[in-house]
Amino acid sequence: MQQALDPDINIYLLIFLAGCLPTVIWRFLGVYFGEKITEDSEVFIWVRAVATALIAALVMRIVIAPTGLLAQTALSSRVLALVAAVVIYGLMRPRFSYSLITSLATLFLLETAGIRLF
Amino acid sequence: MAKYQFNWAAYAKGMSQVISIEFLVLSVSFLGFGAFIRDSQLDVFHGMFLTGAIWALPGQVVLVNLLQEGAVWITIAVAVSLTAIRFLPMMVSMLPLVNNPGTPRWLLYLLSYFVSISVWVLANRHLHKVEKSQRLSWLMGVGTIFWAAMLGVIVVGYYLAGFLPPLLSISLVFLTPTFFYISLFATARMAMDFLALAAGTILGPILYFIIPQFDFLLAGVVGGTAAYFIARTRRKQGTQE
Repeated sequence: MQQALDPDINIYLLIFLAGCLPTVIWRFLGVYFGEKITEDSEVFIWVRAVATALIAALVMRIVIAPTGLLAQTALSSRVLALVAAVVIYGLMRPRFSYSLITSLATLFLLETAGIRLF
Repeated sequence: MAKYQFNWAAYAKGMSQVISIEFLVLSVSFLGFGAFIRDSQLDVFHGMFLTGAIWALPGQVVLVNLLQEGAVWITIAVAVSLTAIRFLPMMVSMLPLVNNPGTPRWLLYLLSYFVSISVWVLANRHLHKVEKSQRLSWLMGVGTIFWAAMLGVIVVGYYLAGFLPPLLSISLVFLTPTFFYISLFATARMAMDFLALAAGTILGPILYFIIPQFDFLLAGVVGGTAAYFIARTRRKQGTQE
């Protein structure tokens, strides 16, 4: 059993060690490798493909298995909110504020109405 | 080595990006995060320090969650690290756009500290319009003003949380992933980008059910690589994008 939120451990130190350092190391590694690549190289194109697929998958993770407050919402609400955003973006391109408002409204209304499809 | 000149005029222009859709969305997301901090029994200074030190919303949310569950710090560090791996390819893809001969390395490392997904998205949309020698200064302006502003926004969100209906706070939290996803469409420049987007979308959930620890990391590497090779084969056959 771990102790929950011991007030004596320095929470700022924990944020630094377990939050700041594990994040900043990837930023610095990115700079380290990025300096060795030029804009039109094939590696650059490949890296962009990986970054794109990775962020798409990260969003899917948040939709399927969210943490925190979002975990209280239904999967169907999150999926439909994202689908609505994509559809509206397709219609209103290149402006994307409408799609964001649609997503927000869809999630809020489905949850308020208590509609849980899956 | 050529002498490098930091361009303060470009820096100020970068700061003017506080009037942008990215800034608006990020502000709303951080309002939600401020509410989340309050919900998690942390105080407002923890929230500000978290934001300033990590400066990556997914990692911040993961850390707060695990902190509440009473996880050991090494577990938290590994989980946060996994959400931050995306910065490696993001920085690699951004560096050639801002790097000039003679640019001091420490400035590039400093820049990387202020780059978040929102800043990266904004850079993808606007960097090509900025003269190359001024891009680093411009982007530093964007990054630092976004960073500083969010430290204030989180305070507002923290105290606003007492007034907002809980469902509205939750909906605000979902705005960030939606924004990330839509921005992938908005910044796609060639067929390969759409292929990579589709690959991540399909592979992510599949891999989550097989290996939940490495789902988006693997989906990124496998899906992105597949998209790259498919697009390259088509390019070689003469069907130019």
